[in-house]
Amino acid sequence: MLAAKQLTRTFGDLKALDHLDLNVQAGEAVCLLGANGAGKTTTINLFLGFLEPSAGAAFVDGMEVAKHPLETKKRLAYIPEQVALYPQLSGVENLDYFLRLSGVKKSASELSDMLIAAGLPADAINKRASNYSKGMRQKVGVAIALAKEAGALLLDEPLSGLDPSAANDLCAVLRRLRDDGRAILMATHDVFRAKEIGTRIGIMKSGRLIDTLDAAALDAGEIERVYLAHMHEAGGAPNGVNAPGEEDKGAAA
Amino acid sequence: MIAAIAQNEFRGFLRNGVFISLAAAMLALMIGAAALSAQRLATFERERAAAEAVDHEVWIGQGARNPHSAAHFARYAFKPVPRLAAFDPGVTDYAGLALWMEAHYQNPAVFRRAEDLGDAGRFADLSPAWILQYAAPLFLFLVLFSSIAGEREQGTLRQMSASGLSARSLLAGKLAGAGLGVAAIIAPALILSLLAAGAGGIRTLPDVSVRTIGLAAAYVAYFVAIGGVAIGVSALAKEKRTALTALVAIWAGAFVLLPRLAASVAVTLHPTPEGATLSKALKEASEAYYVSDELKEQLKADTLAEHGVDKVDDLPFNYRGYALQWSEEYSHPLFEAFYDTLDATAARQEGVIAAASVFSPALAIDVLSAGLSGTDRHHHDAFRSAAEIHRRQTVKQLNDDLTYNAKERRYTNDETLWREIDDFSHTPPRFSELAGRYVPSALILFVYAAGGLAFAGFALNRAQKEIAQ
Amino acid sequence: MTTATTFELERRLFVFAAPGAIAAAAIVLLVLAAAWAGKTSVAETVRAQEAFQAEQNASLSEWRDALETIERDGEASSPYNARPMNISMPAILPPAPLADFASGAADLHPTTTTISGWSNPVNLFIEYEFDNPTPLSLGGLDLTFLAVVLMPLIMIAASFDVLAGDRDLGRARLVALQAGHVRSSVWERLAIRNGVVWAAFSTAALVVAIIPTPNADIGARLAHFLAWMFVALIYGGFWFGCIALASVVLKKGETVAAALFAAWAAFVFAAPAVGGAFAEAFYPPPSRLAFLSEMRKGEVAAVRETAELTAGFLADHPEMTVSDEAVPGYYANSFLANREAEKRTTPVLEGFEASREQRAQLVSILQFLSPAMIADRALTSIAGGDVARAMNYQRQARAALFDLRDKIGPAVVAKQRISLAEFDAIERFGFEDRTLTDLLRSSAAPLIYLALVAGGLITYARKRLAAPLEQLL
Repeated sequence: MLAAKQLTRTFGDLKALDHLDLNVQAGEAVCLLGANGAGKTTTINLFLGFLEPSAGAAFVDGMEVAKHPLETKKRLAYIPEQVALYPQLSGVENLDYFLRLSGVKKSASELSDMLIAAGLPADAINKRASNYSKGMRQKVGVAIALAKEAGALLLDEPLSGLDPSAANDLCAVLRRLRDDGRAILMATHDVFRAKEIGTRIGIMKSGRLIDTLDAAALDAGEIERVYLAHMHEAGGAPNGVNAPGEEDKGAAA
Repeated sequence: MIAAIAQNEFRGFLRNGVFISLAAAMLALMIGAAALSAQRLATFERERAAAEAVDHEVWIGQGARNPHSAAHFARYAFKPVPRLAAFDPGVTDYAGLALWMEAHYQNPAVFRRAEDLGDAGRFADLSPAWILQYAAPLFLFLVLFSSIAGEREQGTLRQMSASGLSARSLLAGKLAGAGLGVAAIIAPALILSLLAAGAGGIRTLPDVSVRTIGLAAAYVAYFVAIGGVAIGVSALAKEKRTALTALVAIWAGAFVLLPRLAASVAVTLHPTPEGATLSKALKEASEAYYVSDELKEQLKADTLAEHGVDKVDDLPFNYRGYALQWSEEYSHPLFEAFYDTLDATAARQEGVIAAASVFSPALAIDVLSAGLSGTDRHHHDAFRSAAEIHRRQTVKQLNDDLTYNAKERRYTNDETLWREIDDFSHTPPRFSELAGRYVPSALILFVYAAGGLAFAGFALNRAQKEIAQ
Repeated sequence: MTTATTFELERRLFVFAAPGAIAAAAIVLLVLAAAWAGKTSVAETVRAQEAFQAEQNASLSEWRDALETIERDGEASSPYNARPMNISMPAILPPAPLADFASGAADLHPTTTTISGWSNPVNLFIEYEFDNPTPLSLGGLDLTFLAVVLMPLIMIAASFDVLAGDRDLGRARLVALQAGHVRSSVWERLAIRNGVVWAAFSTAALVVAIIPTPNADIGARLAHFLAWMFVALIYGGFWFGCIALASVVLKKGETVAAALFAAWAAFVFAAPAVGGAFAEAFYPPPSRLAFLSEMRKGEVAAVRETAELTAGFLADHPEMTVSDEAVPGYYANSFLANREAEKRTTPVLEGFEASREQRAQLVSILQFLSPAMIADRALTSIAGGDVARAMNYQRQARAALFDLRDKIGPAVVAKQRISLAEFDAIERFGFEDRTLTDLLRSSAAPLIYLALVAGGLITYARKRLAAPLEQLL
């Protein structure tokens, strides 16, 4: 469903993503782990078409993103770290607007059901989004993603800043989607949640995918040890040096 | 601590590209305005001096003539423009600069320079005072909108508050920093414009030092008020963009729109009658005696009775000259009533503008600045009054000559008499003589300065409490 | 995604929400305030002009009746009756059809005078400078001011963060993913917001235009209004282009706002102020005081040289013989003094005209630096508040004065009367205004330039919006 072939992106002299080869099949969830500036968000942005590759290509459902930007976006859903909504609109109005943008028209009751299914309390769906907590906004984001019924889901540190209960809820939703046959690519710092959701875990450093682990084969502690071992290996950019467009999620969180 | 904040603020300005470019634009505008204003004023003064010389020469050289004919030919009073007009021209361009001191007529001052300026639009005047009153607040708003909102967005306000900094110290530091930044731009330009205003031998006001100190105090209060509002809004706003939008909206409303709205409402509620209507009324005042046969007969009868004679030829003076002077004096209260009505309308119009200055410090400083510079309507009216006194004296001198020296109908006099008539000379009033008129504006400005500081203190307190929560 | 979707969003965010309602209400209230001031002023001018004209016409009829009686009876009851020197004809500059839309320079220049042998070019326009200089110096609020100064500001405030707001908060990424791009959304949102702002302004202005002013023909008024509105919309298009381009090119909301506000201050205030000051510095108006001095020198010379001047004048008019009627000598003397003053002041007057022309030319070049100046000049001239109209009136009045002087001069100096037929042949003053076509033609070059700049900005902004998302998000 998602594929990267020698996918490379540079910003001036900085190689934000270095010849990435990656495949995420339907029903598979790949979690990318790595320090700030490792290239996780750049990878997601390249699949979304928000960045153009310097070399190589990203594919969605067999279509090259750079050549079919509109078609590929129709097949993708995306949940960012901070789901930004229009604060003057209610949850249901926000959902309606974003769905209409992608050409999906739902009735008011369908929209309400979707929000409730995504975990938003029923009494909040008609309240203005300016009163929503981060967890509630994430749930609207999940509802938008679900309603689009896209084959692939891209998530950029969606769990960051969520309380444990909200994070659990979201993990449950993501597992369900994975099991329903969606392809999931998620960037995260959280080893334990990555193990919970992912079928495979990619470890990125300095723009390169340096290791891929089978999530089922290792427990969370082992994954963390491998990850830390890679982080302490010599070479690569020091932590905290971000590529342009790669946000400093640590600081934001 | 205050010094550290002020220093940090000032350093921030110096490293801020927006501040540097805006400051450069302001400085260039101020210097350009000062130079052009000084040049204009020097030209005005040259023109005035030349016209005065010609007026004197033409008057003296008019040849032998009937004194009343000379009183009709009359002389002109040319308004001296004080040197502070190079700083704040006030109404200089919109008030007449020459007044014909003719017999039987109290004319309005004519030749308004604004009529010659053309179609460049009347949105702005390139004078140092205009820049300080209208452009400098925008400059301050653009520079200060992020002073607290920016600190809040980048998290440094939280750190500052955590270090035990009081709202008062933060306000003092921010204001001092802004003051340093603004003073670095405006002070040299201000000094330069005042120096430029002093050049060229332009007439000075009798109390120029008092007026200059008053101007400095008024502008300091003005900028404190504006700085307080800017910092207060920046502290209340959650985001920088909100602060910027709010401040620009305040500027547009209070500094651009309100002065014009106030002027429009003032002249619509209290319209000055049309020129043709007033001209007719003035003519009627002038001709009041001559159109009334009854009045003429009455004067003749009274005069003959007073001197116990039967015909005017038997009077011990020339009756024609006597009647001319009597008619002049008969018109004086009529002219006074005419101009008092006009002045009352003007005062009502200015009352509306003064009321609007409650919502706009720009209007309060506008009134004070022009008053202190000697270029407002009150100073113009002082010139008009002085010219009228001179006109009455001159006409009386000429009529008296006719009354007491004319023995025959074709009586003429010559240069000897013309030389006895003084040249008009006007010294603008001392500010203390008119000070009462500016008390409301000064009070409003003071309240704005105090209110601005209080508002900023309140907003900073609130911002710190919000952060603590 | 459809326009309806965007409109649905904007309906909730702006059109039927507090920002849009406040903007529309502020616009409507300000338009009404400006219209109230404009209409009151025009009505007062018309009323005063009608009274002036009626009074002047009555005394002119009286004068004619006296002449008719003299011609019929063959003799005058008084030597002062029906003297040509006392012909006094009104010359009026009526308010333009759309005068309430722009005061421009109309509040500074005279609109009435009397054409008579007693006048000379210097004292033809006197006693009109009664207005309080304080409100004059502050300027008035009219619809042209609102269109040129305020509308861009409201446009900026309404729409500067359409893209930046989404971008700063990350919504733009969601929009881009859902819609595939952001260009339609941004473009339509900009168009809707600015459309609402201009719809409120145009509607309110149309209502003001439909309410007639006392003297204006409604057809002419509406034609002028359409032209006025067309120019205002071109100017609005320029600012739309600026806002769109700044939104696309600059990243942060406060940077977009600061850049647009700075551009507004530069175009609306700085450029006209600097332009006007430079024009005055480069081509200073000749001294009015020098003009006055020349006039007075001329008067003195004329008084001294009455005998020579009379002989000289009559030498040019051998058909005239000096009447022995006991008319006061000052009729002829004053006439000759005015003629002499006119001769002496003509070069100064020409100097005024030349320097005014040079300044006008410089300003008409400098206006290309500021769209606000282009719009202000065009809107003011369509509304009839421009200096050119006032000068045109003064020129026509001077021409009428010279025409009258030529017709009555020989008789005045010869102390004679003119015939009734000669009097009836004197043309009455009627101001010949420029046609709307003339007005548009004279503003065509700067307006085409403004439209091109607006089009260029809009095209470039659209092109930038079609750029890869990487450059927009």
